[in-house]
Amino acid sequence: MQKKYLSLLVFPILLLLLLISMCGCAGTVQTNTARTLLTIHDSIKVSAEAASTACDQKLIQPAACHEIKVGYDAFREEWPKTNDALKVYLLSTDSVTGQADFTSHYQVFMSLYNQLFSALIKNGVIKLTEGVK
Amino acid sequence: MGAMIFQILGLAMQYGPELGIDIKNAINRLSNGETVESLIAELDAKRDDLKPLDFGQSTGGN
Repeated sequence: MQKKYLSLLVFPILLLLLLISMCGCAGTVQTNTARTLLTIHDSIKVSAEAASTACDQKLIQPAACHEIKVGYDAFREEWPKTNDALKVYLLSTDSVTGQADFTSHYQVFMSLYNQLFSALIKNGVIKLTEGVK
Repeated sequence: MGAMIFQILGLAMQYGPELGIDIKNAINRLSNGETVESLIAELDAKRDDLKPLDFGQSTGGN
């Protein structure tokens, strides 16, 4: 009798898992990548706005402001492309479909992020040593 | 009966990904809680939200 109930319980769970796994949804690698890129976007948005304000107030050298602006403009231009490719990648049922296009954008995006982040640190917008005793 | 179900589950986990049926990911998604739909909504909302900034350049900074 108990065995019969167990079988009745296992079948719906199995069916639910099969339905979820077939629904065209992303795995953890894809969702973790999306979360990472969204976090990078958020941190750059805040940092760049702070840098722009500091440049307007002449707190940062004009040459440094120019360097940050060039980096930010390139990053800003690439973000929607990476965003679109990431959505295709997220909606792919396996980790291969949509990955090739996304990977090329991801490499460009991370390279631009690296350049901009380096410029922000080099010019004191992001202070790594603040608060360290 | 129970053994047969686990055998089917094992085969699905082994060969499923080739057929687009990824049970491991389904389990991960259930435990993770973050859905693809919520991520896509966030990506859509943030797609065009990086404003053009002038970094003091319009005031003769460069």
